[in-house]
Amino acid sequence: MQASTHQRQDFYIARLSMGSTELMFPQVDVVSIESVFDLVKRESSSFVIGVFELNGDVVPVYALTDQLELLYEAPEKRYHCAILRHQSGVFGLLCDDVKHLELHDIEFQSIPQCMRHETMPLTHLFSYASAAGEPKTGFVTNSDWIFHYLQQSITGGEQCLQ
Amino acid sequence: MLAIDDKRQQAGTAAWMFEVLKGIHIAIARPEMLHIIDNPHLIRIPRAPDYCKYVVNWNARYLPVFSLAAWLNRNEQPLDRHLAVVRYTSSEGKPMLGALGLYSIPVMMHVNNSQSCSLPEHHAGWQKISIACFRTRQGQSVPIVDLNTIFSDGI
Repeated sequence: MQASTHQRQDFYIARLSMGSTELMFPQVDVVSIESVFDLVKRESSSFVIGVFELNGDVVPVYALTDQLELLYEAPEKRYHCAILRHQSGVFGLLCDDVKHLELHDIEFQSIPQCMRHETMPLTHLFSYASAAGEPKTGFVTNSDWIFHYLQQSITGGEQCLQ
Repeated sequence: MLAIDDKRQQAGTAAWMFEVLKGIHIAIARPEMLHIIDNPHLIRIPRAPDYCKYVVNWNARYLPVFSLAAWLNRNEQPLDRHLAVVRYTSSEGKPMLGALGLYSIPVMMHVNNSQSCSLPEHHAGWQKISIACFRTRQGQSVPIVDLNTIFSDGI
């Protein structure tokens, strides 16, 4: 009865862990995984906590809490940075861990209507089992969606933590 | 036939009455409620609105959990001990399921036209989500809510 899509096929997903939250991106959105130790840190009021210089490009890097609020500083234990390609460029997102998952027979369910708003960073939910067989909920997004969310959050400002 | 209709009218329409915040009740039509979940396992959805920040996995479906307690009184920590699984229709006309947070176990009652009254004045939001209101024998005004509005994106 809920708005859902049966996808009887294989899905290649990049799982970015940020504290207790795991964001699921299409694997094709991930350009590379970098170490945070190579990050050039920046004092900034625009929530860009640092940059990578990759192939001549300066890639801005952002950090989010497990409730996906923007941070001014990198939290401890965020040792990885996923470089993500969006429609008009690339950006980095710090995370605790990145895993590539191959999932089968996933049923994606749209974020319920009453939860949607202009800056909702998630598009779908799905249920899956961890490697240990534990039931888990996947929070689905993509790099365009998250980049839009970051821009909206920076502009709005009120959702950000110091 | 008229006598039977009169009796039916007197008996009224069956409705579920929910306590959504201590002492605050709402009602929905009897067929709209499917199930009660006690001590639900709630899954927090990042960046979802405060009044609807959880889903519950019920029969392999994620249902949005709407807390009228949080919507009515945002300063008070809501205490949703039970969930009512309810059916509604999406804005695209599709049948959907959702869950309402409850403070106590629902009660069934019969409502008839003679109990009609105006909406409570303690919260302007009742006008947005209610289709009617009735007064109980104890004198409490109970809004009958429109689930399609509550679970829409326009709330």
